[in-house]
Amino acid sequence: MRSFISISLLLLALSVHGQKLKSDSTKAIEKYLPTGIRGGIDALALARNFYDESFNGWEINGDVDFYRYYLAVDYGYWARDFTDNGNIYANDGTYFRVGVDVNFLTKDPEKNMFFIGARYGHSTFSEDLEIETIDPIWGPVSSSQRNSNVNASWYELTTGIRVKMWKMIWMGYTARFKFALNTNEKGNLMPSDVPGFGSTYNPSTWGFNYQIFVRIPVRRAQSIPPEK
Amino acid sequence: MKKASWSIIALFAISCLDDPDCFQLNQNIIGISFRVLGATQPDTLYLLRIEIPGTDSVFHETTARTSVELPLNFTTNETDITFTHVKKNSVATNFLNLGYATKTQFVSDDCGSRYILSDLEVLGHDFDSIRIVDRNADKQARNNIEIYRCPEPTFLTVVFRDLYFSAGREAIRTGSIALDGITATGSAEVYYPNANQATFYLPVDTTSTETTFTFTQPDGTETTLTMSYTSAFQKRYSVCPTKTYISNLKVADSDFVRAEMVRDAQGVQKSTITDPPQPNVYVYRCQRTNLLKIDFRQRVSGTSNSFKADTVFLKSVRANYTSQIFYSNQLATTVTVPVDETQNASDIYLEYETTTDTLRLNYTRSAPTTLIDDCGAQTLFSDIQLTKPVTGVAVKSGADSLRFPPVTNIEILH
Repeated sequence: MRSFISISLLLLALSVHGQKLKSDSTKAIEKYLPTGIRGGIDALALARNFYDESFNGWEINGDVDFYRYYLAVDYGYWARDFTDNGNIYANDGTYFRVGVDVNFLTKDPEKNMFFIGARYGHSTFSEDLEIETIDPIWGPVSSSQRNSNVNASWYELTTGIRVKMWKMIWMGYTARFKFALNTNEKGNLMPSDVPGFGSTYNPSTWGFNYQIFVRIPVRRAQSIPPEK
Repeated sequence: MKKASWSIIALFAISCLDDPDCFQLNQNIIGISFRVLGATQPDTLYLLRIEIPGTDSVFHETTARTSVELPLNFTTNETDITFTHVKKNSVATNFLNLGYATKTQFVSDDCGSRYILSDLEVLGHDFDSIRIVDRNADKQARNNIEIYRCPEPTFLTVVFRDLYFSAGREAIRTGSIALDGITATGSAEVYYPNANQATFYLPVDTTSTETTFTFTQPDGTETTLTMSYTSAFQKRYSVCPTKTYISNLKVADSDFVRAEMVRDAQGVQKSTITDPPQPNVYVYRCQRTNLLKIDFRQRVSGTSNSFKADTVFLKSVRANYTSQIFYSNQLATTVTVPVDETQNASDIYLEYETTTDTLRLNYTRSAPTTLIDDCGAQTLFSDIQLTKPVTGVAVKSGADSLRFPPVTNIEILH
């Protein structure tokens, strides 16, 4: 009888402990489940269509949260057109970026963000260059060259903020350090401007987006434990 | 938030720095260096000009260069380069035909396009040998191509040095010598007529094992140097004809106060004639104790008491004790003239464009004293005085003794 009581108490204890473990593990998984999907546009890219005559383009942005980690995706269209100094240059193409941002404001109840992240960028574009000029040493220079369906890839380090403005409306900016550009053109025309990356004159460059988002919540976020 | 705003401004500022500078965008400049087969030192090419079809520009006119930088024509995929230069006292022409890939890149609407040349290759040439070191042209010259010529190792390099007494002991310096000319056995040619320099490149007689060089000075003094050596007739490089190579050089005989083989840093004698030439023999002369140095000066401005060097045209500089003309029809800021070693007085005549300064000098001669063993007893000169005042001419204070190397003894203010 004494043995039966002892075994029963042990089983009861194990059962209670098991339920506690199961509850902890579920909580940990739930922490990483997305709470909302954010989609938006780059306002600077749109504004640039008006103040920069050589530019035509747009960019949409989206992200989804996994606790403090955000899967971020951008997609855009970019065309440029320059005519000056005997040079006519034009390009157009699409691009996407995909990467992860890490939020450092994990305790913010509004889920505002200050983040640092990384992206992989890819673009497919075409470009044309016509030259009719006079070089001081070699005299008249005339050529017409084209690159079709060039693929380009690069990497970015990003940082920025996302701030809840009103209900589902969010705003934020992203600063990008773009580097390690790789292009696969075949001819003698070297890419000048890669959609999504920018000028190829320097091996690395900077980019900046000012974004407006709509965030659609998909799940109620876990309550944040009070500070001790 | 304030910090965030500043970061945005900083980022825009950095973006502006990304704009390209329109200066020298093209990467079409190559560097060509000149070398001698088998030598580590660069070769010097005495260029008259370099021409490239497609442009009226002429590059590197009348200059001695060990390397040149040249632009390649980016409107085509090849460039012909013609080198006109002096070789063995006559004009020679060589060509170099280079091929390459030209890539174009639009830079900006302000700058236009740029051209990047790569994959350099030699399509043709008539030099002895050529090596491509770097196949990419750049904005500034790198060492892209080395042009080699066959060695001509038959020129002995003789360097003159002065022995002088300084700080209580013998000292040595490289010193130039004025010569009427140099003759060599086995040759009827007079080398270096009316020269005044320290280094001489002299051909040895390749048909003999010995060559004697005679150095004739303006006062008629002749000094000889005899070199012995062994010669070998060899074909050392496939692109070069068989040549005579000189080795085992030795000073066989000399009238100079001292003559010795040059040694390298390890103490090994430079007993092989090389091309480009390197010093083989040092010949020494004793200090000249009777050299009077005269400087020409002028006021910095108006009646200022500050003075600066003056350059004057001298029709001639002579002395009363010799028929030798020390300087003739030349510009000078300073002249060095020997005084009469046998007398206590000398007259120096400085003839300008329209006038002449006559400097009547008295001085004291010491009893002959041995300062340097190899030079024997020498007379020293002191107490230089002008016996007849000349306007603007004065013995410099504290410098009335003649020294070697010469120091300014007299200043002439014009």
